[in-house]
Amino acid sequence: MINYIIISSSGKPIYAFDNNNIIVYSAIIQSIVSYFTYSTSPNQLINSIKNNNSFINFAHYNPFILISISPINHHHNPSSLSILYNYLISLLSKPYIDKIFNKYPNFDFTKLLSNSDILTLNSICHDLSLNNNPIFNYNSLQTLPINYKIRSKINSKFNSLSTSNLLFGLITTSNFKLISILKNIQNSNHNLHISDLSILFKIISSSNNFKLNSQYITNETFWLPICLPKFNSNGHLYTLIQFVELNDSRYQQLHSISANNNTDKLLIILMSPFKDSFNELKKISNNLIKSLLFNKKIFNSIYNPLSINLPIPSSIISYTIKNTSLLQFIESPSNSSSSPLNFKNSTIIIENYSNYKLFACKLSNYEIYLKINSSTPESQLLPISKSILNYCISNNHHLFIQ
Amino acid sequence: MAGQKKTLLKVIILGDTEVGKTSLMQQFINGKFSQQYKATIGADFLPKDMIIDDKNITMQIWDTAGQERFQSLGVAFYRGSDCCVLVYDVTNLKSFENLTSWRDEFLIQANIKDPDNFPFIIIGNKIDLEEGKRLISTKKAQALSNSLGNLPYFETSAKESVNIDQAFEVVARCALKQEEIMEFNDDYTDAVNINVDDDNYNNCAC
Repeated sequence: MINYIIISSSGKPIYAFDNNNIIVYSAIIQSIVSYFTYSTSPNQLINSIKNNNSFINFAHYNPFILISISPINHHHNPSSLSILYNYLISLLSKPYIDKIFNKYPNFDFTKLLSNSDILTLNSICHDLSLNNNPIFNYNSLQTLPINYKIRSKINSKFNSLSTSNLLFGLITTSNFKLISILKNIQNSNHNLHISDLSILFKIISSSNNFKLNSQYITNETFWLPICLPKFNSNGHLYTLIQFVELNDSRYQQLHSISANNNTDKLLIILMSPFKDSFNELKKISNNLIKSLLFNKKIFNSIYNPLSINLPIPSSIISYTIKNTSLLQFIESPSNSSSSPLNFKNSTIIIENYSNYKLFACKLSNYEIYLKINSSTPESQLLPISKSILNYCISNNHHLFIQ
Repeated sequence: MAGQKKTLLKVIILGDTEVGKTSLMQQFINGKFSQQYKATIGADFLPKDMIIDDKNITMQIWDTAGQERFQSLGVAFYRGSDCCVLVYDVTNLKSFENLTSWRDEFLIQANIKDPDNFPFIIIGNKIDLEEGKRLISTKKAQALSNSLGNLPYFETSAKESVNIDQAFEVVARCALKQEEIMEFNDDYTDAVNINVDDDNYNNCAC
């Protein structure tokens, strides 16, 4: 278990994954950080403390100090603290936070955190602590495999509906497998970033705002201001969020397809820099939904996505394959998202555990991560990886969004 | 965005070495007193929950070291305080004379923008010691408190637990008042101006 603590630069507690003694810890952390900032010559920032049992990592993003305390042998995600910092910025934007703390260094930031914000922070920390969020682990987005001709059709439809007030658009499944992504051509110099989307996805999945009885609400359209810190930390984008139910017998009858639970819901995300563009974006969303639901080929390709038939033996327990140039990945249905292996300077890594091995290799534009039975000979791993690579290269246009 | 929550107040205790800062804090928080003197190294931190006018608050009390050699940590400790408690020993003239320096040092190090309205409390400790040892009269201390801006003044005994709770209740009220005057704009959702602002990064991640 890793603990994550966020305090203000003046030592007031803001958040702790494990809340015990946070008031005292906050003051101690602030003193340690400030000692290095003010009392060392030349002034230095403390990065980490290591002892026999634990590793303490510090990040000082004024006006916040963030730390993680992890067991010494834990696979630590080096981006953990910046992910948490970005989440705080996503709520309020950098200038707003700076303005408050410049005026009031003693500001108690917990006043601005709602219960829903705490839930999201808990969920992010939970993911980081267990390394079980592949978007955080691989810094890439998961895709839904779709025949590329049909995906092109979806993309063209999406583009044709776009207006100048729509900056970005995404179509994903409700578990955030990417189907299509739209960038406004007139504003083509603006880009979406994985870390921003990972925060947006966490806000959607972990707060209660979009759910009723733990199910996403499909009969409401949400309008959410969110700051995307890597895109632009100076302000908010206005985001339309709409879930669409696919498990409806009327669509199955209409398209003469059998019931299947592969994809139960779609998620439409449309972003605008304009506060008053909800109705315009809502119209785009409605038209987009119609074209996805009432076209048989498109509906079927989303409802029953392509199966990935990797040439792998049964000794492979699970896999994740990342396209490093597109920053997208696919993974086996049974994936347990084990700790990401850190390549550092190597291209192949093998780690042995009691019941399984973890293997990772870099081949061409791909990173292949395998969880395998302990009995699998290591000599087989590279040939298996090469056949996976060949499969990915020949199916690249179906598996990933170009 | 947020509902009713516990308010956290940062309170700093300053004063010369051996005036009884740690004893005051220990008596207030744990109801204990020790004759044995142990110098505070750097600082010590203790929390105390209180209810003031139906408001739940937590005081984060920073008991600092009075010794000169720990003063380099000042900036770290002082910044972002909601109230500062200045303590002297009623039998130690020097500790009384140094109160103004402690106050000035705090105002500079903590970069207080409105010094006239920042809440300070003065505590004269060790009133349990025999009358003959006392060097600073109530009148003299009261005069100093008035001259520094009508600061609340208490005479206490950490040893016999005299006036401690009363003093810290005023500390809490002053800190709370200071915290409550903060004004900030609730409309935090300014839009990005995509025609003016550049992206933070130009490389596409998708």
